[in-house]
Amino acid sequence: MKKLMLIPLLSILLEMVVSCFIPIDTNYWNTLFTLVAILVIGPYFGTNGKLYYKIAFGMGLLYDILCNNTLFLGAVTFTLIAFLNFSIYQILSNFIATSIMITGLMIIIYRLVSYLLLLLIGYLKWDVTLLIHSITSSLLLNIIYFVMLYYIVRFLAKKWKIIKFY
Amino acid sequence: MRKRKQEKRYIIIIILFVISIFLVALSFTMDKDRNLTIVEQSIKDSGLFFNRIALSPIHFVQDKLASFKDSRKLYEENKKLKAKEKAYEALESKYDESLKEIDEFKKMLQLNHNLAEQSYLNATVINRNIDYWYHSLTVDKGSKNGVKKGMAVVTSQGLIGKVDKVTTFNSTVKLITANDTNNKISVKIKVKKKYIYGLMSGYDSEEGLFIVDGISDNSDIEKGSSVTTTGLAETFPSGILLGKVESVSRDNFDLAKTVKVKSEIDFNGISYVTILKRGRSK
Repeated sequence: MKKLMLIPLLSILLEMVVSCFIPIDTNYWNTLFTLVAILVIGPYFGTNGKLYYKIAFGMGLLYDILCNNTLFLGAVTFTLIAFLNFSIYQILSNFIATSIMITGLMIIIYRLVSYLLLLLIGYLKWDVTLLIHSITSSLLLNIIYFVMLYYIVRFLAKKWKIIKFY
Repeated sequence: MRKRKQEKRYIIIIILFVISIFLVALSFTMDKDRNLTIVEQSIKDSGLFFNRIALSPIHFVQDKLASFKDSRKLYEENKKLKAKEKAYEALESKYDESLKEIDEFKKMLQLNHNLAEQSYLNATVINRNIDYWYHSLTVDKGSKNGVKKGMAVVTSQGLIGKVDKVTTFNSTVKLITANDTNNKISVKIKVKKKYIYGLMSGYDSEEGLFIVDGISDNSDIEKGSSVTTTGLAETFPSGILLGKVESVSRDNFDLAKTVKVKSEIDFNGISYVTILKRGRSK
């Protein structure tokens, strides 16, 4: 199960590389590959939720340091998203269609929570269009990445004999 | 029943306490004056080392393609450059003369530096704006190359931002298009033979224009006038181009003007930048 940690680690690296080729004011292609990787590996931690949250927290912290020069924002929001993701999979079945919907929902929640936190500490100005743009510009590319990663992880899990719980 | 209510109250108090501690810690880490700790710097440098390795084949192909394109234009450019060469030589000697004069004046006035003095350091962009909110770039030069926090960063077309965080081998550049509350620059607008001073206070991402306000001067500002930095704050040397005036409007009380400025820079496609250090290069 610990081998699955490689997926978000490689996703951070991929996110950093891909960012060089994406326009800053893009309307569709904002990357959230690390978060998506955490969402994809969620259903494989059925009996070990604590390890999943630890991975999410660690990846969030790494994301903070490597990409954003912050310390807690990514760590806390990633853990929160991991908790919600884990809880939802205990209720819903993990078909690709439901997974895509859950991913979309998680991206919206992630953007909303990050925006509200940055607003609360006075870093950002109140601007609803900015929030909406941040959400709409993040959905398409990340859902495509989710679908690709979903099948890659399923293949790897079979190879590594990791059971999918939900 | 009463015990349960009390327990609930305690839980709510604990949650509120944890949230407030988290918000305080977050605002501390987002502080613009905060420097990265040694642990953060080493993690960031090692992560970006792998990033550079992954990017190097892509950059190699890009550079080859660019040089192939350039080589096709080489003959024409060579002709033009030869024509300019003589004029350049004359200008160079004039420039040397002026530098000597400036040095002499500085000695007379006992000045250590003037607001426009700067030396240059070129850098390559290795990643950019990963999380949506920050409008930043990471470049491959750090404190080892003499980069310091707050240095101005430009391209050939003008100002793009300032160095926000520095590690040993890399630096993060905060773009002037960032939407955060700390992003303000003192600027001057050239109107005929005088300058009008104002404050660049934000960026309108929908129109792609910078907003300069706090202008109380009554002079007419024409469309197309140059807007440059004043050099009055510590960060930016004087005379770096921000853009050209696109439109001028008055506030509701008719007391001050707001000017919208268009930059020539394509902020979406910056690959190479120049870091400006205060003080003349030797």
